[in-house]
Amino acid sequence: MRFLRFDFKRLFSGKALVLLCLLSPILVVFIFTSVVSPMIYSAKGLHFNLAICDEDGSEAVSTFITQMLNSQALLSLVDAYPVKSTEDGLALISSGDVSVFVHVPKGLFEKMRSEQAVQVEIISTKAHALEANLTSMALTSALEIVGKSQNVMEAARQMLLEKGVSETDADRYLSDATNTAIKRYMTRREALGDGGPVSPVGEFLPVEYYISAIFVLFAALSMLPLIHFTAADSSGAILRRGLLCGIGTGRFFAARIISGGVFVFLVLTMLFPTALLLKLGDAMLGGTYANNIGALALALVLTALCFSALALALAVWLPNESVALWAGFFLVLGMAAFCGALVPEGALPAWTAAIGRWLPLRASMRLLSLSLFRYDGALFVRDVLKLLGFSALLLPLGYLGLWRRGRGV
Amino acid sequence: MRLDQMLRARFRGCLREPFSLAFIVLAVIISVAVAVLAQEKRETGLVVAVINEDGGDYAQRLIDRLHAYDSFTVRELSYDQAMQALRQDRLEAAVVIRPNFSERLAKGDFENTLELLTSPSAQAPATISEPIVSSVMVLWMEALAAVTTRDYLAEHGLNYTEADAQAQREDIARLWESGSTINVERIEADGGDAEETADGPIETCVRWYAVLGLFNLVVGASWVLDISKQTLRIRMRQMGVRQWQVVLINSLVPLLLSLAGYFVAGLACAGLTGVAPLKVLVYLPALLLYLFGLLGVTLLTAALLKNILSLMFIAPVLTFLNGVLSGLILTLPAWAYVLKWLSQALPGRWLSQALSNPLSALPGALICGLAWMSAGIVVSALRSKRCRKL
Repeated sequence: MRFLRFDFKRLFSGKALVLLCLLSPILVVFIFTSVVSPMIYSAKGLHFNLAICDEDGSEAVSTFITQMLNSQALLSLVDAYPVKSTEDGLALISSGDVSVFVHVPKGLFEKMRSEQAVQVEIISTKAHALEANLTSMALTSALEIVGKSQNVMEAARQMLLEKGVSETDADRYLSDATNTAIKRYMTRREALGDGGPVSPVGEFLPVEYYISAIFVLFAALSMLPLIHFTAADSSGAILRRGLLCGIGTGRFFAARIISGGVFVFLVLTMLFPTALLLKLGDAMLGGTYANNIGALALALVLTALCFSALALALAVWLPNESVALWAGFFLVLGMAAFCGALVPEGALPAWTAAIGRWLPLRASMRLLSLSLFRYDGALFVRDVLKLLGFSALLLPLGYLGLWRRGRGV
Repeated sequence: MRLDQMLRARFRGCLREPFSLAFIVLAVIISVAVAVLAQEKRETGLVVAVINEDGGDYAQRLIDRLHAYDSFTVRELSYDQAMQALRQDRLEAAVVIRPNFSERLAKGDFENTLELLTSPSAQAPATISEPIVSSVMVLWMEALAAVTTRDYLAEHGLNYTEADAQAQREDIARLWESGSTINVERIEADGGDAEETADGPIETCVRWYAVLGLFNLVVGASWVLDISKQTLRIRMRQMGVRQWQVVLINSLVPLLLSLAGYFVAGLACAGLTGVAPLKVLVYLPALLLYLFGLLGVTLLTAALLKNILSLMFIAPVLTFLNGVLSGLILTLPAWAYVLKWLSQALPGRWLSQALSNPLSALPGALICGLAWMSAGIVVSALRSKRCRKL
């Protein structure tokens, strides 16, 4: 017990470092949730101004333009401004007041009726190529459906006439079929069934995913002091003196695992207020967060145990303090990259995701996400077993390394 | 001891430390990769994947129709490939043509025949879906016309054979060819190029390299801790080297290494994306001032934190804060007035501005760099004095 107390004192002696370990994740989470999170994996809310010059001026074309601008394709995307001449439209483009200028030429409708080719122009600068592309997409598809459906119905009428149906009946058929087609056309978006956005962070919102990622990343970084102290102790005077005073490898090992675990656990404890705040806010807003504080506590303990064991194993098996520290640092960065703490797992190439599956950081991240936001017993147990497996491997490895060092002394 | 000897010795020392050099290599690789990927995305424009689970005639005709649009590129992929590409933000949307698509369309139904999956950052999913839905509707109208014609003729005791259906389809095609054609022509007007400059491949490369540069400088700042060591100070005194000379030489080495990394990254990026390599030189003054400011930040941080362990811990935090708050990798939201104002104290803010307008940002970058360097030198000197007293 005295040795454990001594170990605690030693580990927590650097006040600046301890404060850094405890406060850094909170600062990063604060900046992330307030500034970064609204900007990533979310639509940028594209909206732009569009000028239209309708030189044709016929009722049919005006109706078409109104309907097109009010269609779902453009309604939330553009603010349209009618202009009187091409010069006005081009002036708005060069001043940057509008992103796209649509020019409908004079006599468009008459030319269409006389089956002549007509041309609508979409004018934009290079910087607004995307906006021009989207306008072109909406306009082309709308014009196509108008032209093509007219041809389809005309062909059906022709067929009836060829089969001997009278012209009056064929015209009535054409009118009825067109009305039916228009009615059904109005519900055209029903062609699309379920769907929606596919998120690289799976079932979690980006902010939920990254809260877990940030805390676990800092928990992993807090292995560095453990590596530093353990590597220094196990190759120097502390272990030697301890062994001479009758403090065996087992006691040294147990004390370091416990104190290291407590250190990592403390870094993770700020998740508790986060969880409580989320639960409170969720209850007030009538949301659907299914967090589980008990599961969260278990996840934190297991994460702390696993990282403490990993730090000890690294420190005792690598030849000296500097190598162990740098190796630990690179391991943390590597785990962050491969386990989806920087770029989400879903967006990683398959091979990196496969490597990440064999590292404890991913299991920890998933445990925290599940217990904080979407508790699912089966998934939780699976990741608990994974972390237990990692710990079961790392603890004996650390003990063996320490025993080997002790024998060397 | 001559300064050039010290410089050479410090260089040799740096090259013997593979750990900190690895970060420069990583910074070069990451910044070039991000720039190349961004360029690739920009060049391919909007990409829509089609997953054909139906395999029927109508499904193939739908795909052919979608290929005809020049506003987006269509790629036929498997479901898994499309989901992976969507999650990686390499697609704007993916359309799944459901297995009963052709059968349902032939009967005159179109509801729930497709599934539209969009990327989380899709800018206009409703607009993207419109040509797809319209193409389905054109095919559906063809099928509907055939169905209603057949029913009408059957009601009137007349036959509608497969040959009639074929003749009707040919008639539609003929009318389509001979009827009126409405073309949409896209014209590119002059101007508006300035907005694009800050987002080009070299600029993206510079942004990422600059952000990761801070990580490299902070993590490799053990020299700041070393120069305060008693033994080193005694040796320096014996050799007649002054403290400012040590600081100068030690700062110069990471600065030169970072600059070398910048040239490698910039030239590699220019080579891979086809941008004029001279652009690398355009941003050199701004980057130099940025690195000068970062050295000040490093000096200050290392003097305050006192050990390599803390530097390792603070490096990712500082890199994140610098990248986000300076606007190098994200533009600050419009509401963040205070953060925008505060960001003027960050060297990255001026580099970010220099990427849009290289000359206008230089005075600000110089003042900011000098301020950080002065703060770093003052705190470092105070700390050394304290160490001497102890």
